[in-house]
Amino acid sequence: MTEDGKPLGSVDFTAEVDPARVEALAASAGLAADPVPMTYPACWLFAPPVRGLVERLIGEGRLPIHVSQRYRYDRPLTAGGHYHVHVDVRETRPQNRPGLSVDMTAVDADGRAVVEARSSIVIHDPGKRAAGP
Amino acid sequence: MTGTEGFPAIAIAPPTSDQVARYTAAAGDTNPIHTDMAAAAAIGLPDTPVPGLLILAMTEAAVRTWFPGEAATDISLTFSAPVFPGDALTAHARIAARSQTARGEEMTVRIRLTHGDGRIAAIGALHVLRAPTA
Repeated sequence: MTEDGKPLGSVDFTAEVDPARVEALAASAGLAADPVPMTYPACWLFAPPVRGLVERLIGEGRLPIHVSQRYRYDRPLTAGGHYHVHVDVRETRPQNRPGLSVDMTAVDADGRAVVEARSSIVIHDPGKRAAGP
Repeated sequence: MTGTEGFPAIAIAPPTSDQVARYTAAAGDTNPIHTDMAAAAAIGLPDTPVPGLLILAMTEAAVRTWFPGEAATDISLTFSAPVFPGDALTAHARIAARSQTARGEEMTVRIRLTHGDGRIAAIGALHVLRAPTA
């Protein structure tokens, strides 16, 4: 995925594909848990290091709305597997509004690329304008 | 589906508030707009929007119906209109490109989610690899 926008911060952490969490996420979306859903890394977007960075960048009292999401895989995730996750956050203007691009890459224990994800988020300041999507 | 460019439209069961609660709890999504009417109203929405990440996960279920046993390697959606609990959505797919490679048959598929009144809720793309049969 191409990189654009002003870099605002990065975090690194190790994450497990928790089988219980796979079951819970899959069941809530009407998916089978095996294979691990492509959309499982959504939960890594809310891992404390990422959430802390994104919340700090968004600012108190403002609210994020997801406007697009992509996952691109080199190989599937494995339930119980551990991955090194790197996240870059950039300043962007999705749909010509203030926002963030959250780019995530995960590699396996052997350093092989597994998945890239990009989230585009619009930042809403309550009271200033109506929400889009 | 070989030989056709379109796929049967799939009705996605209307998401429920309980489903949103279970998804956000499992994902760790604490954004109040998805569960708190006041937060949704503060940004001008008439109801709590279903998380886009959940809509994409529900779309993945449709993908597994269209391509059972085949490897999807890339999936994306851009959301153009809010989806609220109880909204009926339909998933549509058509092949935009296909090619034979050393890995098998690779397909780029355009995805569209529509509301019951025909409004587009999201558009996106999917890349699928159909491995050669033995």
